[in-house]
Amino acid sequence: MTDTATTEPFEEADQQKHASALGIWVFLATEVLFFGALFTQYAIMRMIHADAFFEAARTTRVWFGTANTAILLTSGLTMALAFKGEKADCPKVAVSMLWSTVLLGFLFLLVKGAEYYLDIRDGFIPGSASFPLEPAATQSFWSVYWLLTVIHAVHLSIGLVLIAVVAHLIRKGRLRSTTRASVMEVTSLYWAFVDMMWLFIYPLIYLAGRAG
Amino acid sequence: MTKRSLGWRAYLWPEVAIFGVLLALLAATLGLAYLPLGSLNLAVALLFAVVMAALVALFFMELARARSI
Repeated sequence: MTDTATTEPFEEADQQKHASALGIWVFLATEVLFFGALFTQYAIMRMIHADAFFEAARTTRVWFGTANTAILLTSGLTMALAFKGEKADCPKVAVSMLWSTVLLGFLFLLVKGAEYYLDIRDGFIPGSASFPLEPAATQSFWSVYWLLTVIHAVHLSIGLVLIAVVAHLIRKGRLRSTTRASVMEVTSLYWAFVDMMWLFIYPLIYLAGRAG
Repeated sequence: MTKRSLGWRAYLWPEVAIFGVLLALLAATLGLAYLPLGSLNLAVALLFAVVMAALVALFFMELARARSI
């Protein structure tokens, strides 16, 4: 078996690479539809309850959201450098950048966890008797907050597992160079997508109504 | 695949430069959210989000250099 051997059923390395690229783009298209529905829900609720939305949005913890945006952007950089390292045939660089991405992802989840702890402590749970805001429509905002951020965190967690597995396999030398290129491309595209979704969640959730 | 040497400057450029621009845009997004622009606040915030997402797509997802499938 040569280093450029392909995985069944592919006969050529290019064919395998194009198939994996097409697969991840189709998957990301379905993800755009999924998040698009959530953003549409946000827009409709915000149009119906504009004042309540602004009041509720001002109670989110903007510094947590901003810190997490900076962390995700940094992880996007390390992931891009990992992909670049792999393309330059420097697996050691790729692996170290992949693990840096994993660490930054965990940092994101740590900050998010601290934020969730404070949110729950302060009673921002829609439907609970101790919900601290009036009118009742403010609960709509917090419903969207939990929905969007939890779904994003789930996507991010899946990405973390994927990156950790890829880093481990590359470090152990268990991926052929052709397979490694495809796997790295798919992984980096998925992570960049998770980054991009947060770039839209951040202003909608944390910055709405800040101007007063 | 032939092995190529990877100089640090070539390795980090342009991703680090784009990262700097993204952080500057993040700071601008945060600052502008506190300016009383009325309904333009949302439009400006989303415009910045679109620009940042485009930079991520073009440079971190390498779409600027990608060939069509």
